[in-house]
Amino acid sequence: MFRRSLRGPRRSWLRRARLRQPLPVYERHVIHLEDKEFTDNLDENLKNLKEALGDPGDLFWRYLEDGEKTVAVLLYFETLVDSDLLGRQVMEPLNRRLQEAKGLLDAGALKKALTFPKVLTISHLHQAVERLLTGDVLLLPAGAGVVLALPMLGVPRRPVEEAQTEKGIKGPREGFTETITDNIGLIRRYIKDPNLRLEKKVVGERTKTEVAVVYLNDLANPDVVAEVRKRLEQIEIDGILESNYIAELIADRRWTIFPLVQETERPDKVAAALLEGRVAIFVDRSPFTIIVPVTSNELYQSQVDFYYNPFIASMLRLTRAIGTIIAVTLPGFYLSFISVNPELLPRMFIQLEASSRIQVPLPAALEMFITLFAFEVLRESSIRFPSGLNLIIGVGGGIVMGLAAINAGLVSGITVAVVVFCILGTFSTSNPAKEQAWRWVRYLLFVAGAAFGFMGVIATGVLVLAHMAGLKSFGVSYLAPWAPPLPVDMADAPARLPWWASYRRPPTYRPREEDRLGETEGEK
Amino acid sequence: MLREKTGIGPGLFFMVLYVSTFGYGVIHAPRVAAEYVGPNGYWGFILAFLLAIPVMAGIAWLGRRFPNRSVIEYLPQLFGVFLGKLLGLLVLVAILILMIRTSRIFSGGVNIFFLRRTPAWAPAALYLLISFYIARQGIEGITRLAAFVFPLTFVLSFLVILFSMENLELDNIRPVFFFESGRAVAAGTANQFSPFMVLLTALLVNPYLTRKDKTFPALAGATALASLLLLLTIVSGIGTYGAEGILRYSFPVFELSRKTQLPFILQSLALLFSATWLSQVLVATGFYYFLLAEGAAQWLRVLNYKWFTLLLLPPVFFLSLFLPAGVIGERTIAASLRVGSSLFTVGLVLALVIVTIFRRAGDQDARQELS
Repeated sequence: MFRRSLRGPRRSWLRRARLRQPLPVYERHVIHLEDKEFTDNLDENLKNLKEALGDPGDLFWRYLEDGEKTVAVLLYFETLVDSDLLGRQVMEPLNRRLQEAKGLLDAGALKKALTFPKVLTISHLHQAVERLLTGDVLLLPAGAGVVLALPMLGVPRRPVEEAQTEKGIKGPREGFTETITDNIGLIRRYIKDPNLRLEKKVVGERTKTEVAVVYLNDLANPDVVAEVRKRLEQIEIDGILESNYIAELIADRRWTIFPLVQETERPDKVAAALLEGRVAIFVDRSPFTIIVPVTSNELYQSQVDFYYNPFIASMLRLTRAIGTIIAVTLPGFYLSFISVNPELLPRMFIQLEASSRIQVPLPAALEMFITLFAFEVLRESSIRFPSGLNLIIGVGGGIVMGLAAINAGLVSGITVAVVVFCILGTFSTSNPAKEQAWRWVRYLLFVAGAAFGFMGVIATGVLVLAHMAGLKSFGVSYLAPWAPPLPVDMADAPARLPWWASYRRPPTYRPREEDRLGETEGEK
Repeated sequence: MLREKTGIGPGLFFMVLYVSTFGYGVIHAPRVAAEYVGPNGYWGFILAFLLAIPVMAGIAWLGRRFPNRSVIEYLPQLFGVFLGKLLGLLVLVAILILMIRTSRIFSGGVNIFFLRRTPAWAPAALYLLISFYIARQGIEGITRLAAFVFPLTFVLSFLVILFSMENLELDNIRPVFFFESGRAVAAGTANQFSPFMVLLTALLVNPYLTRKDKTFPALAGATALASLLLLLTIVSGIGTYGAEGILRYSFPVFELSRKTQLPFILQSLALLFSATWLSQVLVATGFYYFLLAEGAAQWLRVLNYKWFTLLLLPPVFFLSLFLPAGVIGERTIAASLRVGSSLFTVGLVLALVIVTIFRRAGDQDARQELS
């Protein structure tokens, strides 16, 4: 321990500790499969594949015969492939070819017979298993040491719909879906630039989730791209079910409640980020795309800001920032003023507060906590209400419960007003992850206000800021452009610069080319 | 490796220095000015600022001479191992005293103005724990935090000081050029120089500065800006209460900020001033704590600043919280501490510059560059 401490803090101790442990079962299994190659014996190949998969109930195989002997075998998961497509584009042409053909058909002839656009030739057992599990149909020709894989995934897809978490009055209505190819296609429709690069990776030992790193080659900082690649390659996990798995595993710091990557459902937001020189990470089966690097300031900007007049957009940004500040600090300040430092309030307000709380039997801190907690419960449960009942129970329940509590003398009207305003203000943060982080910071300030009054709230606020000042997202300060100060970006932070003045990309993200039209000499 | 692998630019350095100088200097500035020099006590501060200019120049010169080392590291080279280590220890002790004194002032002020029913150790403990956390963020995190709080705290402090002048009476600060004695002015200057002890931090933070050529502009700019606000505070304090009146208050700046009335907008800006002062003093203490921890690691040549923030926590807590006020008559030794810190700052920089010149010391590359 002593020697290690001399070398400085050891950041990846958890990872190293994991490496010392024996390999998990699934990793050992994968290594076992890797060694096997296909042979000329069709039955043996089929047997090996079935054994490797454990012969599940939805694994179907069909022998293709030319009347005398088996020419090939089709192997697929009934639950994954599009059976209609299979019939039209594989079975039909193959049967036709078998009827016409004289003599044995080899792999090349079978491949030619198919009208299918993409056919992969595979020689290893583990590759075939992987393709089968991703929804391919395997064609095993007799006498050939290879198999043909035909991508024919036929699981139901959700159509492109409006983003649920980032709705806007103006701008495109498209949102990402759970299919990675559809999502990348949406981006390609926005950016028709040959510099748009896409690197695919597979993450997750069991889920084999497809992950795509997308960036503009001539804009994105190569260090950031390399870092993204490195961090994705370092991921060791059995399964990736959603983009947050990746977001958590590639973040610069693990012990923080603040989001260190940006997740969005909006293709236009991703396109805008790519044009700023940032990097997008698409994850299959997730409608959320990760954008890196990100700053705290970025999470207050909505894509809709850019679709409005700059003056209106600036007002909206300011409203969002003030709303968030109030939502986070109001319970703490309110509590500190009414319970610890009432002398700091104007006299009229003290009278008003005292008269409203005269019948409340609970201490101010407990009263406030119960009210806040009741609204948190209401909020959390309203997410799970059936959509038809959501509005009725959410709003109705809130109003009825609030009024009943006031009438019963359990809480004061001002406390309910403060809490409701807080809850509403929380939603003014345009990023859901940041909103969740502020939600819990609010409780921290609340406790500090109850214990130490006004000074406690300020001191704890500085503590939270200190934590944020220590954060980085892919090498970029989380508090940028305020700290370190970057004047060019600062101008575009509280206000939205008009397009005719935004000729430079944000230097915060260190793009390869800051000039949007590439007209500045010496750049690149 | 004892040092963080990072660097800070002149902008970040400017901000952390401003925040530290103003945060540490403002709270007793009008009182000290009035106590030693009288109605025109601001002269003591102006003279102290003028005295700080050669000190800043000396620090900047030393920074270029020893670009990759902190004062703790090059002191043994200049003064020999024993004396160098002793002087290094004195620098660290000076920082420790400054930290502890400020935390005690803080807990006293908070106890009087905000938490009358809470024992003084509680806010002091909160204050120290937050400073500890800030110190753990390292030089990059601390300077970024300073940069974040700087714009808002500067604007608010400036407005509060400006609005506090609404009750200023010119007769209270006149006659402008009348001094009772030269000795009083000298004493006032020596006492009012103490906020500039913050300049010593530049000697410790030097290896992290990415632009050594900008050290002097950053030092001078931050000190001048903080001094301007301190001077306005002194003028406003003496001008509002008079030299004798201001001595009645333990915390005249808080009293002064309570004078600021903006009806219908805010009943009082005192709250905002308190908030800005607290933010700045917390950042400054975190900064000092970091330098103390890093300096200790360099002095002993073991571990790193993160370890020393932990190891120093018990003594810092003990000296700040559990040493009863009666053990050391703080009021009686406050003047000695102020004068001592001023003499130490000027003396140390002067000695470092002279010895460096005579011994032709400094890093090889830096010497060639300077010659």
